[in-house]
Amino acid sequence: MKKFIQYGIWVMLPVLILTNMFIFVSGIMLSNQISRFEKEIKKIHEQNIALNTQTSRLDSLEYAASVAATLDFVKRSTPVVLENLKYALNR
Amino acid sequence: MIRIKFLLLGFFLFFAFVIAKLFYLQLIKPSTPFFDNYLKTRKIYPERGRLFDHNSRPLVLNQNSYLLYLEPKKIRNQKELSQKISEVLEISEASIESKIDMSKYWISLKSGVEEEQKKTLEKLQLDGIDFDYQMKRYYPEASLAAHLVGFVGKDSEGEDVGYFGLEGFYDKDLRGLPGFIETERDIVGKPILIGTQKRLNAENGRDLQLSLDKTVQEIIKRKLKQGLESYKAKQGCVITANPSTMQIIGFACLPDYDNNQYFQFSEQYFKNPAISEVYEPGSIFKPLIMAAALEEKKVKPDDFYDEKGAVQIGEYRIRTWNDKYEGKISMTRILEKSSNVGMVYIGDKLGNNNIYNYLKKYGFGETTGIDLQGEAAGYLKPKSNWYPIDFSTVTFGQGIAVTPIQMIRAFAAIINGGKLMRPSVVEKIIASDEEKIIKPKVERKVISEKTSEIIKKMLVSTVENGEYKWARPKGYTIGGKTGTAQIPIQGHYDPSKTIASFIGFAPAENPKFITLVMLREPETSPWGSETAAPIFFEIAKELIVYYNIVPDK
Repeated sequence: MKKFIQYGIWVMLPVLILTNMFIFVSGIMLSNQISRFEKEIKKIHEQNIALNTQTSRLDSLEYAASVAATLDFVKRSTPVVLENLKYALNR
Repeated sequence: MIRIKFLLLGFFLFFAFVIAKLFYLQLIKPSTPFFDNYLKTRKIYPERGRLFDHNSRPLVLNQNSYLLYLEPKKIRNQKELSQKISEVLEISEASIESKIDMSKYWISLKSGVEEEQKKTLEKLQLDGIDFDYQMKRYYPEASLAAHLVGFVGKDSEGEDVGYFGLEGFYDKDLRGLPGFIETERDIVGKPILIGTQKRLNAENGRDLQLSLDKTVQEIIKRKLKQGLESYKAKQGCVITANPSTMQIIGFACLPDYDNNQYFQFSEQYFKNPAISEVYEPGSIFKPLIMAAALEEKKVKPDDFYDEKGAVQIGEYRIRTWNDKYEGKISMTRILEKSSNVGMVYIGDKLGNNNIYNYLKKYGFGETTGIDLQGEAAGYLKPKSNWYPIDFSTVTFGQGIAVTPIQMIRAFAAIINGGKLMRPSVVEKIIASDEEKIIKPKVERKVISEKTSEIIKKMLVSTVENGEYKWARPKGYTIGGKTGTAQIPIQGHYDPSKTIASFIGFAPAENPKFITLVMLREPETSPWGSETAAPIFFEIAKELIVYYNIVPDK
């Protein structure tokens, strides 16, 4: 019986050591993953905001006006309907 | 046996060293970077709510921004560092060097660093600098609606706070709730899984959808700017609203400021003149008194008044604006020619009590409740302090101090069937899980629908048969009234300094918009008919096209 217990202890010891090592390494790997995902989430969030900012800038009246000015489209015409009502009234 | 004792002694010394080191690190010198990072409790800043126009187009968003900080212990070449940062951020080398204190671990150098600047600095691979993520406001349309939007500044603790306009009024909704994260980290900053890991997510601020239309805003601001330049006025405001709901569609005052660079402007620019400054409205006030007299059945539109000449009230003599008198004129004609003496007659018919009661009913002397920070109540003195001349002059809009927003609200009430509405800018508050719609609120009924219809016709006639012929859009019935109020300076009126205004609506049958144009001290002409009115008709032309309004005559 005593021998059996001693034998058991010698078997359990490396198993426990290996299990511990496995848990320790897994913990480190999971920590690494958490760190990486945290960074990626932050990066994606920043990219998302940057794209949103860019889209709204390109969609703005301010940008349209600046492009129009660059292209020399500066003349505003009064719609003909205000001067000639037959178009507005569809006659 | 001796060997075992040596081994035990070895273990004992090793553990004694570990305990001594821990004692040193935790109690004697606990502020090393490692222990700062061991248990991290970090505030998670919520994203401030965004502002969208009526068509869900962005007016105010958030953009990436960074706090540049230094870790002096890691700096190798202080001179080179200051020089390179100075080149990228355009701040003087001396100011950077004055901030560097080599005895500190962490120094905040500049907040609000833009993404491009951050990338440039990162490429330089400087030792001892790093960035913290922040957010700042982004205005895709620049300062298109500066006074209406307000700006985000800092409070005494360095936290973001909204000031003025919507940013100020809705600050609590926009700022959201911060969260926090408490996490145990190892020496390289990675989370220790079996340690403390608590996280309470931040609740982002609520987005606001406004009744404001970006296109209308662009139109009114452009026209106002042109008007200010043409008529050489000191200041100007244009408010456009839906008259049946008093939801603001456009709201511009000039001069204004740049929301992004607000700190470069003095405080006087931040005040919104359309809600915070009072003025004497002048003749645009006349339709309000006329509507009250019609409602009380003291006069009828086809009644006649004999306009013989100037009227004496106590020691004061009241004249028409051009000192010309037409004899028998109708009530409509009183408005058409903007007769002051005619209005004194109507005031007499209405009676002092009624005049005062209607001023209260129209909401003068109280705030309108518009959802913008910094509204003034105007001033309506107690009835016991009114002299007989006050009851006469108030009929043509002198001797009373009102804000432009009070004026347009009261005017909207007489053309929308008599409902005095609470003006509003926000129509929807959007949270992540719910939407709150802000419905137009009727404060009280001021006049009947019948009176409203009558006064609308009188105002159309005022535009069509008034003293001045404007370039109006053909085929559309437009109602309105001009106003020219002299500015009181040290107890008397200076005839050369006026506030010229025009308030109008179109189409008259079922008004889609009401617009108030106000110019302070125009130099080319003091009259509202020659300055504010043309701006109104220019705006009306563009709004008719934008709203695709069908000609109605």
